[in-house]
Amino acid sequence: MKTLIPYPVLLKTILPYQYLLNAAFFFTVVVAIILLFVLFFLQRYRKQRQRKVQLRALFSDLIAGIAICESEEERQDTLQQFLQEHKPRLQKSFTRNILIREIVKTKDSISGIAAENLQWLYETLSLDRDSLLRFGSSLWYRKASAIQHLAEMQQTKHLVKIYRDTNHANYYIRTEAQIAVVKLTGFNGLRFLNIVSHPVSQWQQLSLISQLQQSEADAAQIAPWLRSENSSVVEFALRLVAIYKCHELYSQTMACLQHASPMVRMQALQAAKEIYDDTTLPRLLLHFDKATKGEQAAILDMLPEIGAGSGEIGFLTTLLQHDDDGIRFRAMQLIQQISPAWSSQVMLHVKDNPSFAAILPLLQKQAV
Amino acid sequence: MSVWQVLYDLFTYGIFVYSVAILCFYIFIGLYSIGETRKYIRKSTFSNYNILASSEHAPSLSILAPAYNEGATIIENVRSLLNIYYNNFEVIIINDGSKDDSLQKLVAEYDLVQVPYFTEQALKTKPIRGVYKSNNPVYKKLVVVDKVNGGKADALNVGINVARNQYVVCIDVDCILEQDAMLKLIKPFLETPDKRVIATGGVVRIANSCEVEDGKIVRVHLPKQFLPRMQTLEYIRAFLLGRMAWSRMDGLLLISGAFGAFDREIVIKAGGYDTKTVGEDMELVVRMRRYMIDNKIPYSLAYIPDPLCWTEAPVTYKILGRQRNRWTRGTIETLRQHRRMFFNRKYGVLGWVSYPYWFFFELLAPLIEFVGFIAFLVFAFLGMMDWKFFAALLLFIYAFAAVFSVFAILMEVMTYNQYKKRREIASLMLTALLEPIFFHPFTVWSAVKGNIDLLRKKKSWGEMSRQGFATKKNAVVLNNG
Repeated sequence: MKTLIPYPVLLKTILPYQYLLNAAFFFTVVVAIILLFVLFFLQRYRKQRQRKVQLRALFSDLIAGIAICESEEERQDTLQQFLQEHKPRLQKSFTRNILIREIVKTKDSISGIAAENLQWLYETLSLDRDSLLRFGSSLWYRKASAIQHLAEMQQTKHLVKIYRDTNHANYYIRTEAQIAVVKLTGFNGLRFLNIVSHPVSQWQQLSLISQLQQSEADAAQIAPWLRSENSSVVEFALRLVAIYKCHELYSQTMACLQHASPMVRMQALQAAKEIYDDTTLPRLLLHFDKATKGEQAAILDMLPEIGAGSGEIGFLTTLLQHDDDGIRFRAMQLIQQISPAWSSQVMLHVKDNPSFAAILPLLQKQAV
Repeated sequence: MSVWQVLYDLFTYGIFVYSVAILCFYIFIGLYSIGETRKYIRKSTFSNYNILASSEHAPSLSILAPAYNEGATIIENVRSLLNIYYNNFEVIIINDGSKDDSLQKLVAEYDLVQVPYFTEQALKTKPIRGVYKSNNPVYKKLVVVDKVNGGKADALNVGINVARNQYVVCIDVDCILEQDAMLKLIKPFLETPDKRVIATGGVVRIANSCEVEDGKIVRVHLPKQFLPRMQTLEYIRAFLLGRMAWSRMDGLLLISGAFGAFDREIVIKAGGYDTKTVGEDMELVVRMRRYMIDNKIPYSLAYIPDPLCWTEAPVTYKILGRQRNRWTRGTIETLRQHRRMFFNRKYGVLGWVSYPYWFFFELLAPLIEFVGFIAFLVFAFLGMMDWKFFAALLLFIYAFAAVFSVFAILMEVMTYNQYKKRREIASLMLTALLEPIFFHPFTVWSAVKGNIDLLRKKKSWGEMSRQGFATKKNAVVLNNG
């Protein structure tokens, strides 16, 4: 055999074994370089972490001292004391960035005079200039974090610049700018919804709602959003209708039940539950057949809250023929709630119906 | 040139081309993952997860944890799940016909009573024997379902039927979750308005030797035992490099069965977990993706590089072998079931990149590696191949494997840096050098056995005994530490 096939001919020509050894040697060198880099990185990381810990401790004393000041003189004295000892340190951008982050973090969790004092500290040390420098960066994450800092520090003088970015092509810059304008101007900040051409994600909607907690709503401002071509804006507007219980927007809300987006229709149902009137029940029952299964389930779930009574027994009884287990079950549950006597009769009728086999024992237990 | 010589050349040349292709792909994956991880870390620095934690408008989710003979640890595991940092959730424990006293323990500890509970039979499953809820309002989020044994996939399907919420999070009951795991897992569902996010997955890490207190990891350590340490490196490589690269390419075919979140409606429409395969986690993801593509619905999957879930790795070769054997069978079954996707233009990246990658470099790799090694060894023994060439080839492959592992460690150190002690990093580096010699051949052999078992129509999961927690003063350490 050895004489027949001495050495892989093709491999021999394209891959002399010296090449393999060279490649293996190259990989070994790469391993060694990575190893050394990891050691160097860990060393640097440890030093940097220690430096950050020291600076944080230093700044937390300053922040605490400034936060509890009760007058301008007291603030100046506290700051001057600090600067006498540490002014050179504040020349470095690394140090200033840590100070900005510490101030922003603390300000996020406090309010009142203490928060105003921190804003004063931020402005007096001209840290807004650092934030503005980052704001001008072409790197999205720098710009987005700068917007966050400016908003947290209530830098309303930069509102126009920030507002321009509320429809920015970059998702992160756009969302931070939207949150910032709401943080700076309350409910009025939502006027970006008039021009935003990008979708407002659900995450963003939750973020905006959390910023709106102390704001008063203006139903007149919400009305055009309910007709927006951007379906995510309509969805968000419906959330606002539900949260602020905008009864004056009832008819526009009900009109959204015909919207092409299923998310909007579901949100319209949620909003209708919060602002219902005497006409809601018949309108929803009229809409029922056109609704998707999920919407039908949502409608049935809200019926007791919006005043369903004995008048709806007929409608609910017809639903016992529905091809979906969940709808049948919900209908039967509602019948039990509204008229226990009628539900006992219905149970007698459906007990031999195989499609009720799965749910009947449960319904009977609940009836007991 | 004789026929033998041509065949021989074709074989060796084929192995060489295959090796170069797989090495190139690994290099690509390693480099491609960097961008995705870096982007995630940057955006995380200004993400406020507390918005979701405290919001009454946050989406509701159902955590599904199947349990089979988990009596030794079930109470603590459930407690850990109930303490998750999220506002709007329910925990559904599915007792899959356990032969031990799991159910009795749960009933006693959490004051459970059987309740009438309507479940939609959206997915066909083995019968439910009863649904239990607690009399104690503290545990109002807990639902325990007792059912006839049907396997993990069947138990998860029952959980999906019972779930009342929009999103289901499927986890192994013995996993330890980071406190903010749900917040991070759910966020991608909410921030992609133009596409429907159908599933998200998080990184799973090895918990052996870590310190656990009140169901939470309080201190991370590198496993002290050999096999778990090897698996730690393997997991870092797979999750931090592999999954992130696939996520960036939108080519993920697998979200770990130990921890993943899914859009319940799409799971049901796709038909739920397949009870006939042992690789139900991968199969479901592939089927959900096919469903979305077939129905022309824009969608995406998301992967989170944060270490969110900690699991106990097998500590013996016997258990590890069973696990790898099962993974191999699962992969083959899934790829066979979805063979229509292979180089099918309709499935885009999935058809042209993901499926072929899994087929050539995951399914065939162990077989080719095994056959190639044996053949080259035989050739060398018979004098058909130069020993020097054989040794140089082995050295080349070994050196590349070491580079890839060391690069994964570098990524770990530069991103999450879970192992803080320099000694642990040194140990991990040493592991990278030892793994190709002492661990990898075993996983190859287990995969080969998996292929053989599949041919013999073996369907079993294999017993996966865990060592569980052992008490150590106030804290507990996964007891192989």
